[in-house]
Amino acid sequence: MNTRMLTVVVVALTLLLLAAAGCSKKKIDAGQGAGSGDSYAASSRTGTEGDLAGGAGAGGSKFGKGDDAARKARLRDRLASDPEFRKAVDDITERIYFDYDSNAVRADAQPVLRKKADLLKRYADVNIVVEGHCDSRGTAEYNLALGERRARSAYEFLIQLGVSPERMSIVSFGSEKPLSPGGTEDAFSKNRRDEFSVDF
Amino acid sequence: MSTSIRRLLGLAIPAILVAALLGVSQARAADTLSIDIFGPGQGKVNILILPPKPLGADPVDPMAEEFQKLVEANLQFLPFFNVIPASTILGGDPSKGVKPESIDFAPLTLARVDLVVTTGWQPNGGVQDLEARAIETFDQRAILGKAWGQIDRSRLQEVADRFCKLLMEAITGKSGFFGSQIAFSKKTGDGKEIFVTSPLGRDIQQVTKLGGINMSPAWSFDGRFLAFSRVGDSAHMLGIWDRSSNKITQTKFSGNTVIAPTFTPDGTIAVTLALKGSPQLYLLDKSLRPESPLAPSGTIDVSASFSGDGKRMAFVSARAGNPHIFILDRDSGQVVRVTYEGKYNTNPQISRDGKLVVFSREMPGGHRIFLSDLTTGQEKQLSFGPGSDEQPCFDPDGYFVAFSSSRNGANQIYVTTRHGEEAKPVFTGGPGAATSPAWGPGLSE
Repeated sequence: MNTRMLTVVVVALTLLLLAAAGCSKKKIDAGQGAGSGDSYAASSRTGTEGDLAGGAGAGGSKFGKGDDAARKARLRDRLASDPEFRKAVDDITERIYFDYDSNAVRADAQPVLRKKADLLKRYADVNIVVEGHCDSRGTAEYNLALGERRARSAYEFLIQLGVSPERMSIVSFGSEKPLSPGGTEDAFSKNRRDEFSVDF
Repeated sequence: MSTSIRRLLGLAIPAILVAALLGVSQARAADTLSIDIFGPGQGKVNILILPPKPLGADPVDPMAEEFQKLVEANLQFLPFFNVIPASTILGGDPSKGVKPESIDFAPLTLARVDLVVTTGWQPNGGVQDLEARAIETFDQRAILGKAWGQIDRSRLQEVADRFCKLLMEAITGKSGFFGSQIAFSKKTGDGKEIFVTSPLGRDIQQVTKLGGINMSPAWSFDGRFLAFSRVGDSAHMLGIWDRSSNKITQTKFSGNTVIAPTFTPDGTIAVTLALKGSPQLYLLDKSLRPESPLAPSGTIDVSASFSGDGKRMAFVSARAGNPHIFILDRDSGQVVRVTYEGKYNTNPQISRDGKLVVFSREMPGGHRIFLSDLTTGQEKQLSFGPGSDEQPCFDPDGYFVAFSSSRNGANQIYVTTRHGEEAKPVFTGGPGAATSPAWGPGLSE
């Protein structure tokens, strides 16, 4: 009896939700899963996140493996006990800088990246995130794209030097996280940069 | 439906007993006062608000003066109105009542007043009944008349907004400004969150509390959904807020990059992703999976917006070297370059009729807002700083233009028009830099 009542309620609610869905934009509602009936956003929650994150490219959840926690714990222990490793991490995380509105790897950045590549090959369990940043002269959305290009420039440079893409991830912060505040060229030049963080 | 609208309707439906036109002529007859706010030479209507009058034997409540001030404050946002002070009228108040026959129009026409507003008040059991009219001085007839019953102080602002909306509609044929919503990104602590306000700075609502940098909000054409970019520590996410359910969902994409999502008129999302090595524009399918790229260039393509028929897409591309504005004709696939001046043109938004694009151009001294007429190729500068003026967007009618500016220090939202009228600040809820305005319609009432 209870089950039958529940079924009636569920069917009624579904019909109501479908009727409500019919009042709004077609394409959006067409994307809903049957019975979710609530919104477009609900459809995005069901099933897309994992599918879309797993593709090729410099992003995705590469660091989400089961043994990742153990790897990170080993690295943290080593950082605490091994001065040579600490120095290597300092070198791996050294920033590189870019010219205005450019994502070209400058000549002065190339030896910095070569050193990183050597160290990443030596410490094979170190993974890194390359962060692209911009100065505040440009506008936010274009800067977010430019930051992506800057991070990708270093990422591809390191791949060419033999670092596995699986060990690297990129993210752009555009002009959202300036290193140096202010509107001088000195500040701008410090903010046009890639940062490299070790994924501990 | 917003809370305020629900409250208004809840009270108003039983209360507006005489909500019909009060002896009003056809509001927009061919010979009535009207302005083409979209025309090249925008005129101004000289408007005067006459002192409030009692409708019966009881004296006028002090609330009437407050109502007048609220209406005057609203009119400051409508640049096609020029408010004439009552003190400039020879002989003082030329009205004895609220209807045309109670007004001496001679001193008003002498002072070049085009339109007068009259308000009549009557106590009704502790609250007030109001009759408000707009009367043309030329042919001495009302073009707008409305009555509200049982007004208390808490409803005064809503009624003033409502009257101004009707007044704007009577004069221009458009009223999307009132009831519309401006979403924006506001600095909160180390990050930025998405907020929504009315252009008059009312009903400010914090939409996200996600942490990270939430930016570039964009409304769906029906005003129900708001898409935005969330820049997290290791990846960007596509955020979508459903205003109807107040739920937010987030979606991650390969490449970790999600920049400036926007809606097509049919509710599809276009967004910049870096799936294959450079930030390109993609349409997402119904399940938010990327389809083939839109106008791919192999460089940076970002900041898309669509015309109301969905056929034209304005966007920024670095395909010509520096960032410039381009238009994609989606039927033919043809891409046309819009900007040739300057070296840094970004943040385009195409008008719903597909004829205009607003954008920002880097000039000596900062970015400035420009308008490009896609038919003639003519450009007009709409803002002049100081500081930097960025991220322009049209209101739903395509008349007003909101943008973010650092002219007074930290970025705030300002509103000008397609004619480049003096920019007015929008209240965004106190301290915290406000950027990325996105102007959407209100949910239908």
